[in-house]
Amino acid sequence: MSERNDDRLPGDLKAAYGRELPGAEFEDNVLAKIEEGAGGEHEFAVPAMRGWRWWPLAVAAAVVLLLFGAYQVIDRDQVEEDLCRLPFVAAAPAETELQTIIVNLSVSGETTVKGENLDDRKLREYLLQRAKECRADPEHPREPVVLIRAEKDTEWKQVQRIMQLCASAELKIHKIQFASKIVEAPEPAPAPAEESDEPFSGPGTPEVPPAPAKPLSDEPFVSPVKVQGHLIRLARTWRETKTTVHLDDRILGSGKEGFAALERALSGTKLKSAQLEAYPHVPHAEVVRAIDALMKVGIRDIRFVGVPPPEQRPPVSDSMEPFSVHLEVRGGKLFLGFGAGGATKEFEPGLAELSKALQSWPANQAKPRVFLTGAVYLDRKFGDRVIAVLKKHGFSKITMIE
Amino acid sequence: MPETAPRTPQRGEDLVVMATEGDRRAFAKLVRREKDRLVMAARAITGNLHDGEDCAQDAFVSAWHGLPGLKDPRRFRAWLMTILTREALKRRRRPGPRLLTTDPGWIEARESPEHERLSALVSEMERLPEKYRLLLSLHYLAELSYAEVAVAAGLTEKRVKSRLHDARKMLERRLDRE
Repeated sequence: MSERNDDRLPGDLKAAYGRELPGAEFEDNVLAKIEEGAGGEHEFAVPAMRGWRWWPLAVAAAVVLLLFGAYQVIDRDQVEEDLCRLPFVAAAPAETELQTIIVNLSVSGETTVKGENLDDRKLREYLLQRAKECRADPEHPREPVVLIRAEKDTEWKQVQRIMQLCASAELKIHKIQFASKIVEAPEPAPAPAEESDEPFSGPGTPEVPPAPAKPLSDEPFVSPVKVQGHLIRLARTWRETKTTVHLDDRILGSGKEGFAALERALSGTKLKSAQLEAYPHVPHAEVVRAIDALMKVGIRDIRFVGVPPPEQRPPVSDSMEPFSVHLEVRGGKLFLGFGAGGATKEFEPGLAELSKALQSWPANQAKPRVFLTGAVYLDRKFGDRVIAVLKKHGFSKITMIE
Repeated sequence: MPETAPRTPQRGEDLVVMATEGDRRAFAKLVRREKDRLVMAARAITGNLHDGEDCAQDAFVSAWHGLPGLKDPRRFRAWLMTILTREALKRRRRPGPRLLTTDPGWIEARESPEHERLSALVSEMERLPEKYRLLLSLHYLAELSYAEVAVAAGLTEKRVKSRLHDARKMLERRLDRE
């Protein structure tokens, strides 16, 4: 290496550290973080449509968007909301108490609840009924979650069947436990959101009392429960596009590489039990892949725990009617109008009227997203002045459509 | 060398000015231009693939919020790297498990001599004192000039040159011993 010189070192360093550099998703993530952190500043929804001549089309587009609710397409929060609807999600609000519903699953795929054998239809009805009762309890509302207890040799597809069933009943899977020989450490950490860590006891296990949800640390890989065996975590927050795979005290990698590394690392293991933790945003297929990797090497005692995300998503607030402000040019002058069917006025008096209207917005009423349409880019300073007025009155979600 | 690397400073400055005025598209262009250098430097400073990317993202977000306070657009890169450095060092010092940069999954062609050479380089970078690793990252990976490194690291330009020299020598010595 003595021949290394100034010309070679930069190249080597770049070769070593420049592998798999992030692509376009990196910019998207940065912009998404900015959007979130800034409380939603204005965004450029239709960048290609520049120039005031387009405003009639823009008005038509805005009307279509408003009428048909297509604005949700550009709302990242809404996308995240959809991503959340995965069958194994177990994230309940930290302050909500959980009510565990235990579903026992035999090797043959039969399901038993409280000693009663239920087919899929009856099980779904039962789950729906219990969920309704838990949530509607006026004195003690709870969030129902499901613990699937499968006998040791139950096929994974049977577990998936129950997971799908729960998803159809809009119930969250809290834990999947593959029967018998789960051994806890002598001094287990305080119980996580679930409560029943006792060994599988066959059909008819009574429901356990609810336990408060446990807030998770933001630090990676702090196991809520000590187990003898491997500890695997699939970590993925709503911002991330890849899942990071952890094994015991190591981070194996992310995405396909992480799962391949997991399979490599597990080959030759002699341990027979494992705990698998998955964040809610981990795709279903990846959970299945991790479980398959465990089962391939003979690990049949798998505790599956859905883990609440370390960061709370911002609340989705676009379910309300949006509010629109429109700029247009007529006869060489700029006009401003706002609200449904509001008449346009010249810019300055129009802006003053807008400010007055926003000032009288009911204090107890949430602020909707504002669509700023029309000749927004004719002269940037006009658009900026409107934005300044909107923000002054607390309207921070603004979408500009030219 | 970084000083002679092709750049379009005028255009970059224009973008910084536009971004300072709230133009998000201009900022997105800046992100696109700088992200590779930033991520590589962050990986080297944190010693962690994922932390590197995360803190590069966070550095951009902080930069966006701090742009109105940037007086001279020509110093954007050095300023951005100052933010990155602070964030990356904070993450590196944070306790907890880390992905070693020598993870064989990261560098491809694991059996090749090239892989061994690069693994050794990364491994020795990890073992370097922080002050050396930081300057090597900023100069060779982030492609900052000596003057820009001085701004980002809070040192004089003369000290930067001297430390970089020492860092290179130490790295060479250690790699020779391999």
